[in-house]
Amino acid sequence: MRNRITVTIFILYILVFAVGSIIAKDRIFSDMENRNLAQFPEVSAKSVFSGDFSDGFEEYMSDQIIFKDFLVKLKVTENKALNQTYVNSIYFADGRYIRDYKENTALIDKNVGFVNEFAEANPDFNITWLMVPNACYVYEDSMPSYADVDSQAATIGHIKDYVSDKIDFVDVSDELVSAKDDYIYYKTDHHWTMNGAYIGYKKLCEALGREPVEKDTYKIEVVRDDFLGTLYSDAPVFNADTDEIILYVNENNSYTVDYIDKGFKQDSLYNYEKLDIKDKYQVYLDGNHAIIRIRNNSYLDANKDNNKDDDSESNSIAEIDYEVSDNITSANRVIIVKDSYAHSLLPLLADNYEEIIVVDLRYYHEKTVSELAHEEGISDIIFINNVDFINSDDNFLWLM
Amino acid sequence: MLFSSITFLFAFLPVVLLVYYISPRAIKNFVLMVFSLLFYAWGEPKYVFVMLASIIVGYVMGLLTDYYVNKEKIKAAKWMVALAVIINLGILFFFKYMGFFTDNINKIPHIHIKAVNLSLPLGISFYTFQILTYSVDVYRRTAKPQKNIINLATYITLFPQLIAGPIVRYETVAKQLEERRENVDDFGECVRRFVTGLGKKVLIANMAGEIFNTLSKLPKDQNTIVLSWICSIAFTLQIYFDFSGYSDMAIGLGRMFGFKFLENFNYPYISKSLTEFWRRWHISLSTWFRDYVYIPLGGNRKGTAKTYRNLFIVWFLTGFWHGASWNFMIWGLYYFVLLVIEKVWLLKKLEKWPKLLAHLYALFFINFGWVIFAYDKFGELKTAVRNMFGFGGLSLTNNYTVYILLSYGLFLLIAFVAATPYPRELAVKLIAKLEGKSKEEDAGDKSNINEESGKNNGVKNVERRGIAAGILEAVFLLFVLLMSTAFLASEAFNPFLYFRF
Repeated sequence: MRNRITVTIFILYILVFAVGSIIAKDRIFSDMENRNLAQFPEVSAKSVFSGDFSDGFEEYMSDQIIFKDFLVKLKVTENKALNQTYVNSIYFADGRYIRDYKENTALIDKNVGFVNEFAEANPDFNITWLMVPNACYVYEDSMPSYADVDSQAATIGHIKDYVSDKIDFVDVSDELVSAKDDYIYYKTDHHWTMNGAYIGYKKLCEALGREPVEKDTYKIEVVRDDFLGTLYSDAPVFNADTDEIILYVNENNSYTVDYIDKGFKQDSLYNYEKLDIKDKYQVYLDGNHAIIRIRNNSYLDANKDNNKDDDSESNSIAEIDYEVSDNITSANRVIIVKDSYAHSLLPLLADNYEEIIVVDLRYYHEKTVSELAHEEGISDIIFINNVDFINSDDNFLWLM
Repeated sequence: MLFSSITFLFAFLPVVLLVYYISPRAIKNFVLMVFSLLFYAWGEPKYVFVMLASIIVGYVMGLLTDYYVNKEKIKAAKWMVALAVIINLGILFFFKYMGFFTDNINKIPHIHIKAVNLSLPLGISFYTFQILTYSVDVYRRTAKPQKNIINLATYITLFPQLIAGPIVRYETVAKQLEERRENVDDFGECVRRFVTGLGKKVLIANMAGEIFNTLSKLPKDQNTIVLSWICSIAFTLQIYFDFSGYSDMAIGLGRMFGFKFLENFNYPYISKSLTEFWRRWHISLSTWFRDYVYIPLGGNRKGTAKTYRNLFIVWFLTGFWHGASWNFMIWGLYYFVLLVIEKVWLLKKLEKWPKLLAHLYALFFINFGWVIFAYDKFGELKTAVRNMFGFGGLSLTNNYTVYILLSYGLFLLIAFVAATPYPRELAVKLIAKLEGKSKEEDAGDKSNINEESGKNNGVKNVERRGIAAGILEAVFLLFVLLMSTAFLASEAFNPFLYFRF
């Protein structure tokens, strides 16, 4: 009897996965893992003999296996059950995911060096650099005991020592650490929440000498409470807490966001459609873009009478007219050089400028930032970066 | 193709089982051969032809050997065997060792020969040794020559043992090639073996391998003496669970097709001496060397000096068989020295030692052996050894060491226990109890379990208990299968250790 049960179970198990995987429709993209899945490989004499077919087929099989999402969760859950608090460069830290941090001093020095050179080559620019620590710094106390994570405090200290004195370097670590009991970082994503971004915004305004909008001016909305971020995707488990997406909406003002690189405009700082995709953080300014232009229409209303909308819409960067309107003074325009931490901060900063041009050096290689600034006649430049980013990105060379 | 892959489990295996079981008896071997060739060609289409050449040489020479033996032309028969051995070892030498020899000869000043660096055909060391047993067994008359080349090719290419052993001797399976029966009870046993092997490989070996991989690449400022020991222990666990897991899977799969292979591992890490270790580790390899090298050389019957010469040759070859690299040779000779010491003097003393001490002695040298085995670059080996014994300038421990212990302590503990016979013994006892058998009954029907044969009043009771045992076992097997599938589907660390063998 025992043998019969054993054999039946085994054969059923194999068949469920074999037949199930054939019947189940192949997926193009895994929402949970946030990546494209392997498709059935091309069959040709060449691919078969080179072994490309068999490699491709094995990838296809493991990507398209039925119950894939469940299986991946099961694996990570076992890791967690064995007290393995570190999976795929992520720590399970007291109910939240925290990405590991290992300082890459050489790369940081290189990146800071590029920013320094940029500042020194453009002495007429006013450069401010907001540096945002990651969760591993702010939630240091929640990390698993004895976890071997480098200190971002040390990194920020190192940057402070090295950064040119032509740059106003703004470190918001202390403010964030003292607010750590508030909901300022996502539990499942590597970004800060808009609550965290507001703290950064206030600190930045302070450095810029501008008046921050008070918190009670905004309508603060929780638009989703089922967000599972990128860190979750790297190490999904069954019982993860979901995150909230919070929006700060200033109903007094109206804005136009021109996504120059993709050739469309929206009259909101938030693209609500993105709330229905997996990476809901893209609700803020539609996620990653090479270059966008944010106009605060109300700012013009308040300051100028002869405000009129720019009708010359166009779909390609080459045709975009960068001509400076006489009505907009240079002091009310700014160029932001940023990573994705800025996405949730810029909707706040939009109230303090007539126009913000936002470039992401990972994607914007049309012109250097120096060229762009000179063409636009803008001399205020703000860098907004998180520590992980300058520790891993190598696109700062596109500054000049 | 690897057994521990989604492709094997859910594409290859169901198809081959289905086709095999619906095929008429007469073509079952042919079916197995075709699927085995497909299995082999999966990752490496070219080298199928190398294997086929070896098989043809073995086949022709086998027939010729037999022809001359029958005519009592022993000299001619000897030549035929010798030719078969030379050609097959020649192929092995060419693919596996040519690169090593040319590289090392080129290190001599003023010599420049063309370096040969071929990728190694998968499993060539395993199947070459199998063909050699065929040639020799035919000559020794312990097996009849195989007239049907399909049967011989089935034996050599048989996918369960093709790429990572065990080395199955021709005489073991000669009869089974021509007549074998598959049945449910056998199949139940195969499933247990296969699933256990899969779990050993995917759930234990791979995780141990991940620890070894992480710790062996640790930068000096993070490393500690304790970590370098954990690193070596992780490798010791990895190689056992990986290799014996493969053997379990091979034995299980072989039995699914009616073949009964001999055991290859017998809890080697419970040994109390290194002599015992080698009776329990990779048994098919050490008995191969004993029967096809050591004894033909004269064994221990030709005086002390020749005995040690023969032992030296055997251990040198054993080491070198594991890969064309100096460290494997050193590893082989390391065991030569230790085993000679045990033979001459230590073994008798060990018997009088407290058991625990003898265990620790054996484990220490086994573990140290694996350190030699693990690093094929002298620099890395030197660093690893210096680190372990406190000459590497490392501190004893640090925060990271504690973190690693917290993260992997539970896993290591499970692995230690799993390397002993206790879990199996416990399971056997539990099953026997659930099935309601007394010890005598158990011993009595071990060879022929047939629960339905009894017609007394207890039949239903026994059957019900059988169900309980079946469910318990099913839960365990499902757990292992599901967790293994989860790790494979997540593309977790899943190395293949035998690409150098």
